[in-house]
Amino acid sequence: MIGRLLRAGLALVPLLDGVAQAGAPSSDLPAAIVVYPVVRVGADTDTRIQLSNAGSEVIDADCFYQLTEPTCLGGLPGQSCAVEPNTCSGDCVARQRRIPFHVRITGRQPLAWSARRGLTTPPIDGAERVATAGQSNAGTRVPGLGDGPVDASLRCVVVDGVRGAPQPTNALVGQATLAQATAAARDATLYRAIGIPALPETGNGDDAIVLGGPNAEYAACPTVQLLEHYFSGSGLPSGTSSATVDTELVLTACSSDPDAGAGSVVQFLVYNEFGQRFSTSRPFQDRVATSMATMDTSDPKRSIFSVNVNGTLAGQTQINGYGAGTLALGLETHRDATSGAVHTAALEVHHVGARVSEDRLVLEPACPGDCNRGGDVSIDELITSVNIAIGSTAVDGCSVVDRNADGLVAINELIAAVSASLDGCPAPFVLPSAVPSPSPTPVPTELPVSIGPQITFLGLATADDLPLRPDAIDEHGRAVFIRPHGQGFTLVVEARQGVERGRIGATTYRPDGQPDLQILVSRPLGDGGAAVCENDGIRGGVPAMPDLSFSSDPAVVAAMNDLGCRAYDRQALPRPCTRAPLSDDTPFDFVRNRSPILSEVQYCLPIARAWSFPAGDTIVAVRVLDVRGTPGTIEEMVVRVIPPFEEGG
Amino acid sequence: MTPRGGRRLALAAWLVAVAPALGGAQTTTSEGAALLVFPKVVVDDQWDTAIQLTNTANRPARAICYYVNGALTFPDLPPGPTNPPLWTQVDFRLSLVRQQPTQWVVSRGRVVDDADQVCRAPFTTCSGSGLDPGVIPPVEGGFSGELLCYEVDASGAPWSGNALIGHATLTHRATGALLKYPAVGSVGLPSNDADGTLCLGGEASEVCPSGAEYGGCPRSWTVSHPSDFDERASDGDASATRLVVAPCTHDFVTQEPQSVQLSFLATNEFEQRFSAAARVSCWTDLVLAEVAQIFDRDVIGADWLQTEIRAAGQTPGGFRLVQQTARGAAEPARLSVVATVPPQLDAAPQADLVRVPEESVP
Repeated sequence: MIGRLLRAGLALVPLLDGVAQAGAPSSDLPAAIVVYPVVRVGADTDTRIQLSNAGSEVIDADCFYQLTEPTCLGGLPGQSCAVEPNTCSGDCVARQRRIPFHVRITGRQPLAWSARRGLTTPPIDGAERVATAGQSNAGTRVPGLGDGPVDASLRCVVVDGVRGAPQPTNALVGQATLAQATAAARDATLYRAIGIPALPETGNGDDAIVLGGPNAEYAACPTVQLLEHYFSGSGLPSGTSSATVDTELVLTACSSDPDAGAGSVVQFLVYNEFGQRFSTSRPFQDRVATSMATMDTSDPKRSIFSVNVNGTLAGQTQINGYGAGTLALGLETHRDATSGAVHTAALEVHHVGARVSEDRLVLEPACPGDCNRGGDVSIDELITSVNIAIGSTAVDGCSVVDRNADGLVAINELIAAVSASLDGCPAPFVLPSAVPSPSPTPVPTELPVSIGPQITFLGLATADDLPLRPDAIDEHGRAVFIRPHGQGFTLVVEARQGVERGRIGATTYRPDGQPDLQILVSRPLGDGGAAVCENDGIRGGVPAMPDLSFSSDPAVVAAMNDLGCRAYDRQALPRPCTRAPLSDDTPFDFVRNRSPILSEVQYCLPIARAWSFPAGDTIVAVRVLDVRGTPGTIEEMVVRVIPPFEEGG
Repeated sequence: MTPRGGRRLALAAWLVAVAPALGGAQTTTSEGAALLVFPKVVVDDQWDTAIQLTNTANRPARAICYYVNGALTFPDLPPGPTNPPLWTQVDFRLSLVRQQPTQWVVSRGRVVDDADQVCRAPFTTCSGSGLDPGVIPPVEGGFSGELLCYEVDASGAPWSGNALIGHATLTHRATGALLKYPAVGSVGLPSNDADGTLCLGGEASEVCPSGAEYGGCPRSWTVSHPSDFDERASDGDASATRLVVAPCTHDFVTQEPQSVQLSFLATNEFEQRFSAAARVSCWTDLVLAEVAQIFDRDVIGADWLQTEIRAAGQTPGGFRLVQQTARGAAEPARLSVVATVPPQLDAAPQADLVRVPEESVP
């Protein structure tokens, strides 16, 4: 009984019921945080930022550009790491710097600005112009980044307008247009900001925003990001000639936390149109923006992201940040072979899974006395602070001066405001950041002894490969899976070596004998036809073996092969088909993936409409042979199909 | 408890378990999906389109796809009852091994050629390299429409595998200008009964006895865009935004196009609001300036707009949207054009139905 419970997943880590985790980073819906991975300003380049309020109420947002700047460490005072001239006698290291600002956006208002120029006079300034219900953009001031060159990211977080505490209001929508214009040509690239939705009723309102993990306030960052791209150097039709494609990858950390630890490693798995896989990894700290073809080598033609190496035009790259969540954006460039003209388009990534570990985005505390959150403290703001201190003005008039939030302004808080007025607001954070993953908790359980291969998991997964938790255990200790339809799921079997340590057999179909994975069903699947592997296994059903007796009887062997020929690859899979929806490491994994029960092989058998389970209970019996033909113990489960609206008892 | 009571209880428990997925699901461009739509595919004298489609699962994936031509019968005349969209369709099947990406240029299609070689320099004739996903027919000029693919099981029945992602790249033949957008996916749900009617959102009904089988289609979208203007007469720029609107309901059996009544609520930077309406039939590439003058900068008095586009109350179902904005001077080289799928707001309360021919389903 215990073994069956373990195999079915009742006593181990929770499986999912095919229900997606609430909220995920996406550009499809308004969110409480928006991340722009790329903001660029240069001689011919500017970025048009669009930030809109999709809700009807006014919202405030704290935003910050995050820049990577070379800093001279160990050099003499006054030395610099500017590209020309570089006077640093020490080490030039990349340091992060924030440029914070605050915006207030009225209901359904679109706000837009040039990153170069910023936004000094908002459309509805609150003085000469006021919108519905007295709403305005008062307090909005976006600093310009100047002539550059600047290559930064931008984050905006919905906060309350009084204290600056994060608010779970999913109303922000963002886009950015990277524009490049010379006298001869013009190019523009539009991408959508990545939205991170707030989870309902989870936020504690402090400045440390928790993305994912057990204390999540906002959606978790993805386990893996998928970039669907053309390989570098590919030739594609373009106008009247062809264009050579290159893709720049921009990766930015989910976390932005001055107190967090070291960097991380990003792994890349690359698939080409042959289904072949290549991999590489590289250290990652905060943000990287580089041509994919130079990420793994200095010679682009030898890169695993190049068409030279892959031999096909299209690829898929899975990006996994070990130790820290990342958000990615691709910029695909087509260079015309004849004219030399360059055109760029954004290549937005897809997400798979959610990280178990949390990422943190820490907001900068508001500058004391900076009532309008404009980045400095004016004389008017100091007067307001004093008026609050003497009780002639309510604290709501400038809550940021009340640093301990006790409703009063004490002398030390006034001094902090005066200091900020004289010396400027505290310097922006120098950053980050990686949050180490928690170690998985060992599960102190074990399975019974088996001579042959031991089944470590027998169960179902959804059509999109999420393992299902059994709905019940019957009187024989068998896991019972209840489904509304007899098809549209996958039968999953995992095994490990038995005590004889024989290598586990791989085949699920063997035309001349017994397959290594042997499955019998108590009731016919589909039309129950006896023809083995009819029409190459895409039509026809599977006959029942009501007594579920494994033997060398030709009819039994035929039934095993008839079902086994429909398994993916007709053998144990080289990599698991089942998804790990909550993981820091991989989007696909064995269902039994933790010590002491570690699966060694997995077989996946999709249940299609042509061989669907009948309504009612069907017992599924399974055993696995090792390569010497030694069978392991037999395991059983029940697939119970209850069609919608069925009234039969 | 009687066996019958137990079954009811179990079914109720199952429905509760899947309820969050049913309620929250809409279209996605961020995750794998079981039904994928490329709303804007153009092959004509000016543009060609390349499709990228990828299986993100660690298992094989199969799909049945339809090109639907929404071009007008008489392209040079305005749409109307005497000038309906062609609404012709071409179907084909795809099969991808685990994690396999594939691509093709719509005007060329792709053949199955086991003699395909590994792509070698100069890399300009490699469009067939790799495992061929199936015979993809070439599309002739005069095509303006969409491509819809839905995942199927080995026997050809709909399968909620959520393995597919995609991108479309439109290339301007004269200038090489690029438009690229992600395919719009509908997430398949465990309640998929694998029959010939794909139910996108909505409640259980006679035609959708299991309720929603895929995420619901959006009923409203919010589009951020610049206002339209044309200053080319004074050596300035012009800016124009257009929207492809593709109703989510499809009947590939009767080939009857769906119509949608749309309302537009535009808000400028000064929070001033303007409204307009339009009726679109089948698949439409709407030029905003032709919908109403409110999108003109001289009328709306601002550079920037947020426009909420909503299917009117009397219109059942939802629609998909691709936004395209062009800006430039008279010279072709100084034209820049961008495209995206804007954020969606709420889903249609009623199901959108995609009916596929019975021969597609065993």
